[in-house]
Amino acid sequence: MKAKSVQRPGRARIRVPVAPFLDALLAGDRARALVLSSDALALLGSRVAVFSDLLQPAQHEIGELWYEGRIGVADEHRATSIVEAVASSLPPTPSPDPVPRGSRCLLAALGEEQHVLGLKVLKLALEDEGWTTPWLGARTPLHEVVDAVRAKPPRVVALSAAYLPAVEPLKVAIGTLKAMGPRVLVGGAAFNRIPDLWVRLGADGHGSDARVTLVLARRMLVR
Amino acid sequence: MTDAGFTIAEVASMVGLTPYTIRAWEKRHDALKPRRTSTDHRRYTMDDVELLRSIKQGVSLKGLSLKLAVLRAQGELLEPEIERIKSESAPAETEPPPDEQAPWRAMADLSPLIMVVLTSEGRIVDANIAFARAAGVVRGSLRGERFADFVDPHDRAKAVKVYRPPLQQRRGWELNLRTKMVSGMYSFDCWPLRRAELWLLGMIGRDLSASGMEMWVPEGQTE
Repeated sequence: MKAKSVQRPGRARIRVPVAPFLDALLAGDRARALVLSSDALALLGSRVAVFSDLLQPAQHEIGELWYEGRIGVADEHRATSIVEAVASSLPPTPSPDPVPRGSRCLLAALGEEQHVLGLKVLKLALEDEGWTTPWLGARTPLHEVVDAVRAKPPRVVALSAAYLPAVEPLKVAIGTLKAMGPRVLVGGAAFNRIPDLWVRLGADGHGSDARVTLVLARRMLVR
Repeated sequence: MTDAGFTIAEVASMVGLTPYTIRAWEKRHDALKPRRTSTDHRRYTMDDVELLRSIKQGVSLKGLSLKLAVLRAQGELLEPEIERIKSESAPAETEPPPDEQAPWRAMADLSPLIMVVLTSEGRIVDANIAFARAAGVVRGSLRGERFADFVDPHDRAKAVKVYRPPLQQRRGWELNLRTKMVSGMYSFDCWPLRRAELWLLGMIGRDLSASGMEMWVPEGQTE
């Protein structure tokens, strides 16, 4: 006979208060969003879990509401700025099993890409895992990424794209960077919308959220 | 890199569940069936990871029971059915059209042009056979789906604009459709339609890549 009432490990972990957090974002209630994220951190135990289980689902839902015409651009921007503030406010939660010292992951958004919230969140998550994370940020020309890789080669380059007006330049960039040695991970809304895009562009992996990216990046250290 | 598959520990890290929970979902809910190695260890694919993430979000974000969340993630339960289960009264816009419209519907089904009716949130209320054929699904399963999901990702913002209130008459609104059956440019004429207390949007689309391509010429203008 099954003991259904017994609390199993992990059960509480999936009850993250995404809906109230989303309500706070839509209401522009930054204080409430900060409180809820602190509660989630206490529940989940790590910053990356809050990013992946609370911030990203809420941010995704905001995008869906925009798609359905239920909220406007101003609402979306306000919500994004709160999510950014929440991400920055959470204290570091260093991993008990960090990567080897000196493991480097370079982060950049190429071309005209200006959406870097996901990349910022990934930077914080990588730092909790012990990575060194040189940051080139938004709208980085390819030659600057190439220069940075040449100056101090990272093991991994993480590229983010929310919107891709043309995929060919990114394909060329990925090929160029891989030829220099590092593995290339991609992420962002553009890749989440088209699941096999990362394969077509020749990347080594697609991090659909920060937590997935951490595992993929760690694997790249082994080879 | 992922050819060998992910271990259960890696997947647990990626989705924020314990290995115990993942195994329990496999056994109790047939959520997924990982490949087994020669030593009988589980190996997961990236699709498995995304499925688990989707189940988890169904529970935490949509407030679904685990059973419903599994069915949703597996594609066995569409959003309209979920809403129907969750809500006592189905929304009016997802009801089938009344019988008196059946002859017009039959005529619409004879047309090679694609015809689709949307809510102001971009959800499909009804469509003719040509649209269902282009979408590669039976018509019944289209109801409640998002029109934007059948549009090439680069054109989605443009698709959103067409159904976002206030609904407007538009001519020659070009959108790239991308489904498992078609991939090409369509030119849509759109009209706001009032039905009871609801405003809907009727769209008629021509395949611009088809033979005998007709470019729409605005009224009063000559080529």
